[in-house]
Amino acid sequence: MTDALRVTDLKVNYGGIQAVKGISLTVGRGEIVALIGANGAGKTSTLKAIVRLIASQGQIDFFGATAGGRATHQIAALGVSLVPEGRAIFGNMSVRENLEMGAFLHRDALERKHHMERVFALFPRLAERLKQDGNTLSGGEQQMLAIGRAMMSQPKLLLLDEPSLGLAPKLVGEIFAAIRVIAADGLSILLVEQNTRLALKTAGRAYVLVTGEVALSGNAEDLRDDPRIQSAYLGGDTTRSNG
Amino acid sequence: MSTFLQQLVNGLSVGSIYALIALGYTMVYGTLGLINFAHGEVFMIGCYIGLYAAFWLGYDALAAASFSPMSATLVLLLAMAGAAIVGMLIERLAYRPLRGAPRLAPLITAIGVSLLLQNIAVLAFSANPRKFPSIITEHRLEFAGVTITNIKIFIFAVSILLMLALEFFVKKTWTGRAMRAISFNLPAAKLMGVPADRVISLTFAIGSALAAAGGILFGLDQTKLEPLMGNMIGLKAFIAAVLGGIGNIRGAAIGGLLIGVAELMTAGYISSGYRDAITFVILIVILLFRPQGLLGVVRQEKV
Repeated sequence: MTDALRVTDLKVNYGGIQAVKGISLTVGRGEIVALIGANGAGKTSTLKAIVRLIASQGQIDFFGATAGGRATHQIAALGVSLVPEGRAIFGNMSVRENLEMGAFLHRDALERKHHMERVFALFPRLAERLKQDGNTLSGGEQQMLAIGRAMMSQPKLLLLDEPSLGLAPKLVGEIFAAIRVIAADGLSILLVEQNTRLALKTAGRAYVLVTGEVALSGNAEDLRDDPRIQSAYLGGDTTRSNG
Repeated sequence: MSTFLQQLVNGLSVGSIYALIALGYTMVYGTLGLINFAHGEVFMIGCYIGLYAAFWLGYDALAAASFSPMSATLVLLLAMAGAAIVGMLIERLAYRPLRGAPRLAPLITAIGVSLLLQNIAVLAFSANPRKFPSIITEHRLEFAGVTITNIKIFIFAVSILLMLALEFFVKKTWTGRAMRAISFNLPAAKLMGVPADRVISLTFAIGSALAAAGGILFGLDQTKLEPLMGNMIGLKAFIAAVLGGIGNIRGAAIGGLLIGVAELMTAGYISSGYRDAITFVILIVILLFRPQGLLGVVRQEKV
C-alpha cells in the first residue's frame, strides 16, 4: 500500500537562504510521525511546502498521487489538511461558521452535522461556544477549533504545526489526548512539535531536523533513549532547551 | 422643514449610488487589501454599456415613453454583466500577475489601469458628453411640499435591493463565506479548499456589476455621461467606503448614504458650491478621529 505522504528531496528557498535542504520523509497510513527540531530548523517551512503554501523543489506524493502542479486548495481536496501554526482561525466568523468552512469541500448537510457531532465529542467546549466569534476564544479553544475545523474536512492525512504552542500544560494534555483519539481512527498524522518529549511520546516514528536537514530519524522510542536527543532536546543533563 | 426633507430624499438617492460603487471598493479591499482605483472607470464603462444597450434595444429619444420597463431592466442587466466581465479582465490581466508583489506595485498598477481605461473611453466613446437615454419616463409626485420622482424612488429601491442581495450572498452562501474567509486569512482559506483565485475573480465581477448598476442609476438621475465621470464619483464612493470602514460591506452602504445626504444638505443649507468639498472635509475628519471608519475594527496585521 502506498504511503499517506512521501516527501523526496524537498528544498525550500527564501530569497538566497535555503531553509529546507533536501529532506525526505514518509508517513505511512495510520501512522503518527513527528517532525522535531529547534526553532528555525525548517519544520514549518516543510509543512507549508507540502501543502504548497510556499514554493519548493522536490517530489511530494499523497497516497501515491503527486502534488506536482496542484494548488493548495486542490491538495485539500486530496484529503490533506494542515492545522497551521498560530491556528489561523477565521476571527470574523462564529465557531459554527469556522467549522462549516472546514467542510467547504463537503457540503452534504447531513454528513456535515454528523462530523460536527464528532468534533463536539472530541472538544465539548466548542459546542458551548458555537455562536461566539473566533477571535473571542482563548488560545486553547482556538487550537481546538483549528483541529476541529480540519477534522470537518474529513482528512485522510492531518498535518499539525505546533499544536502545543503557547498553551498551559493542562490544555496541552487535552489537545494531545484528542490527537490520539483521532489517530486511533486510522488517520495518518504528521506532527510538528517543539515539545520533543511530548512529540516522541505521541508518535511512532520521528525525524529530527537540524538547520534544514534530517539529522536523525527512527522509532520514537529509540530516539527518546538516544543520548544525542537527550542532551539536545530533552534536557538530559544541564541543557534544557524545551520543556 | 420642506427643504430638509427635500434634501434628505435627494441625498438618499445620490447616496445609494455612492453606496453601490463603494461596495466594490470595499469588497476588493477586503479580499486583496488593494484599493482598486480603476473602479470608478468600471462605473463609467457600465454607464456607457447601458447607453449603447438602450439604443441596441431600440431606444428612440423621440419616443422615449415607448421604451418598456422590461427593456429598461434588460439595460441594467446588460450593463452589470458587461462591467462584470471588464472587472474580471482587469483583475486577471493587471492584478493577478502581481499577487505577492509588494503592496505598492498593484496600487500603482491600479492608477495606471484607471488612466488607461479613461483614455480608451475617450477614444471609443469620444470626449464629448453624451445624454443618457431616459429609459424610464419621469413622473413627479408631491408630498407635503417635497417633490419625489419615480426615478429617485427607483434608484433607492434598486440600490437597497442589490445591497440586501449582496448581504445575503456574503452571509449565507458558500461562496460568500469563502470571500469572508479569504478576507480574514487567505492561506487558511486555501487550506479549507477554497479556490482563492476564482473567488477573487468573482469578487471583482460582483463589485463591478454593482458599480455598473450605480452607473445606470446615475445616468437616470444626472442624464449626462462622459469618459472622465468615474474620477469624481469614484473618489466619493471610495471616501464612502473609508467612512464606513474599508473592508466592511455594511459600512460601505452606510458611508455612501451618509455622504449623499451630507452633500445635499450642504447644497441646500450652505451653498451648492461646497457640495463636493464637504465629502473631503468628512474624509479629513474621519482620518483624524476614526481612521478605521464607522464600522471598521482595528485589525492586526495578517500572519
